[in-house]
Amino acid sequence: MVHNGAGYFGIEDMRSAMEKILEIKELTRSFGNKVVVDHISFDVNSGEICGFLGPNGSGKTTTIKMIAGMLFPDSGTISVCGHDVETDFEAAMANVGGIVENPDSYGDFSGRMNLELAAKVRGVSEKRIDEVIRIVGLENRINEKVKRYSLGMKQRLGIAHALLSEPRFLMFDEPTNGLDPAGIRDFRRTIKRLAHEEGIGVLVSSHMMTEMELLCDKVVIIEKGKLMGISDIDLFKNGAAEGDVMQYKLVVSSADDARRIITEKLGDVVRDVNRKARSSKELWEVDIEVEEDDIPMLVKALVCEDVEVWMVEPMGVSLEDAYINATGGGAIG
Amino acid sequence: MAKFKAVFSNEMRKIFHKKYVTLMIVLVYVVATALGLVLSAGHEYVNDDVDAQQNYENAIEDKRELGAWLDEQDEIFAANGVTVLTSTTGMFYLDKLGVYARACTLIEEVEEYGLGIMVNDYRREVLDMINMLKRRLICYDRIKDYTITAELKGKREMICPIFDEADRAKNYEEMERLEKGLSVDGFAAYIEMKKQDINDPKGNPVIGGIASATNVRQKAFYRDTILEILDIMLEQNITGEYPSHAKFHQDAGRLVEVKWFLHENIKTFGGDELTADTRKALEDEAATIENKMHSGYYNRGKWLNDEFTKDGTIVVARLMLFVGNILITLLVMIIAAGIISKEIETGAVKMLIIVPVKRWKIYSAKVLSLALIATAMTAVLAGWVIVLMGIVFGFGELHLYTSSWGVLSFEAFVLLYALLQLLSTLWYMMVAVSFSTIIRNTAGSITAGIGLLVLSLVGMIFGDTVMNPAILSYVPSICASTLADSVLPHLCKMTDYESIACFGVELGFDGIFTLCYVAVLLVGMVWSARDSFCRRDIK
Repeated sequence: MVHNGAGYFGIEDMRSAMEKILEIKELTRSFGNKVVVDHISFDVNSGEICGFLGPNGSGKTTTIKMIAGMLFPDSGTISVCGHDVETDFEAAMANVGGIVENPDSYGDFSGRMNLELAAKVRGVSEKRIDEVIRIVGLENRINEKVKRYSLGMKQRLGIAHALLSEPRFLMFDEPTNGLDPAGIRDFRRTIKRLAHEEGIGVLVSSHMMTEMELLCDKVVIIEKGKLMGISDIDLFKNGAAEGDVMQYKLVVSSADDARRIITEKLGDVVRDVNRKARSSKELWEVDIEVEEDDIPMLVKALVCEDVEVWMVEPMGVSLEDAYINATGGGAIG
Repeated sequence: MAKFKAVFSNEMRKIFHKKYVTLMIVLVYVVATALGLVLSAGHEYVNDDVDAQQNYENAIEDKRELGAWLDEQDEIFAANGVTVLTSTTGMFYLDKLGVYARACTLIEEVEEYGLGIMVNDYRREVLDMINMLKRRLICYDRIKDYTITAELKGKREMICPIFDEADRAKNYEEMERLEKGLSVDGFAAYIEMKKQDINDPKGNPVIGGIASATNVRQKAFYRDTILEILDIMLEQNITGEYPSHAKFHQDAGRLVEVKWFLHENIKTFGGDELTADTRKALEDEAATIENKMHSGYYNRGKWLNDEFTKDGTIVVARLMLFVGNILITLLVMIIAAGIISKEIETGAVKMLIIVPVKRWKIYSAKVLSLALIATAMTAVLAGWVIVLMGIVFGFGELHLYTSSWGVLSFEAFVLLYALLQLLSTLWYMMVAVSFSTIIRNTAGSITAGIGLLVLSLVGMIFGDTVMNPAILSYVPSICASTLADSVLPHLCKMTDYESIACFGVELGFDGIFTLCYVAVLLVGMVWSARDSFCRRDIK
């Protein structure tokens, strides 16, 4: 069963669970003569966590603010669950929850009162307020005034705000900023559960690449307002599509035998051989460039010739490396 | 609608969550109550005045008689081809009946000397008089009709030398000096100056609006009587600072008038000879005024001397409403100044905007919540004034409010007065909301709003009215008083033709200001709401 905020999907509904929750088409916005967002288009599907990456000033927050209806686009359209944000604002926003830029609330009010204000407008019950307070772990401090909250607590309250009405689309701008490690982990678990179990579409903008790597299913990269690419996160990191040659690291007991067998089977694919560091055993790391489909055959050949295979590891780069490669080092746009 | 209600309810909650709001609300009523009690303390209510309603009806009847008499004069004028102009110089202190008496004098002058009359003032009473004179008006100086002015200029010498522009300006100057109140030394100099003016053979003695003697004999008589009165004024320091001083001036004018009637043995300026009864009545009246003058009656109790006790409830109620309204306006302005900008400054606006409610609904809910608070506070204040005055003076003893356009019960007067003040408060509220929305800076909006309020209060101090119902700003006060003058008589179902005609005249002139007032409100609301909030980026 998948919860969509308004009720529960049955089996039939599951088929349409991968619908487009957020649809952005040719979105453009300028400030003066500077084009900050330049004809970008992308979608976020239900059940998908989309990382929104780009250097400072690349137009991420501007895009998020346009989705939230705070800024007006010069051209292009944004629709949430099929409702255009500009022409059908109320219906669109009924499906949106999120934090834009900073998790600001009414400082003189307690956390609970802030949630109550939002709950009243969205028609949310007291029970749900308690539920989101539990989800973000603010039970002990919820009755304190928000102005006494730390940044992390404000972030938690912002997340609670976002989750309050069980929206079908969530967006977060630097959501883990200020959160402690446990808070980051809880946030990640919550968002993953909501996306993967309840079919919510999520857009997250962040500079914390390790966190994004653990959280996201796909990434959208913009730079200087232009869309640089949309990709599945693994493909983006590895820079290869299915069937492409990729680098793998083999850890074996004999470097010479391994090099000979691999060359016999696949030709000149060995790129490097090194003694494995910090190991009590005499093991060797052999870097090779092969297709993914060749790996089982290669492992079998090595084992048949008494070469012990301790590990086969794809040598994909981290999201951070991939991101820096893609954006040319993250210069401010 | 449900979402609008929710946003509205949230706005109310946000407003009342602020501690200073509660404190200010308490302050409004505490200050108003304290003021009411202090002003009423030791005050003995005397209700020996003629019933106000009866008084008013008598006045209407007098006017009808006068109208009939004027009709007769019409024929005489027409037969003799006399151009009738009117002058109202020196009528500042006259009550309505005094104005009619003055009109009679002028008509008499016209009849006797073939003089024209020039209108050079625009007070309500004057408009009444113009109407009484029924189309005999040739020139009304606020209408810049140069053809008519030219015609008048040619006849000016013939009309009356005392009505030239310099005299008129001097009269205004004198009035201002009296109204503002002068220092003791300055006042002595003023009295001396006035004596010299009066002794000038070309001068025209004026006191209490009794002026423009039409012959040397009358002028001499006026001069001697007025000199005596000036001495009393100097001795008792009747500077015009207090309402009782204005009453002195008014009664002094009446004394001059009554003495002239007795001297000439006439009933009115255009009237028959005195009968024994009317002579006795006039003698009593003159004696009463003189006794009061010599006993320092007009200098007792300042604001609330015995003469004013009959109006005491009105005076105290006005002050309570006036001061209370300033505090309510301040409170509403302070809240309004941050209504949009504060949320933008703190970033809380993001939480406000990402809700499934259109921006115009958010804006409307905010403005409506403020307007309701202002209305509720004003209504409670008005109710409290009625109750407090009832407790202090006795509920059956509250005075009727008499004006040129009708009579109201005390309760109705307080409610209408409060309504006019509310208009002013709402105007200020919109100014602050507009600033808050347009410049998006709370401190700037508060400064601008309070600056405007102070400017208006300064304008009030140097202006020529005291405690105008909506004096808090120039524009609202003009418009609110226009409403008072134009709409209220209509509501009061006046039947006398003069007032109905005045209604038309005033609506014509001042209706523009009223429209401006409404336009400023609407433009401010629409501009700030539509372009500065609903369709503007929130960065």
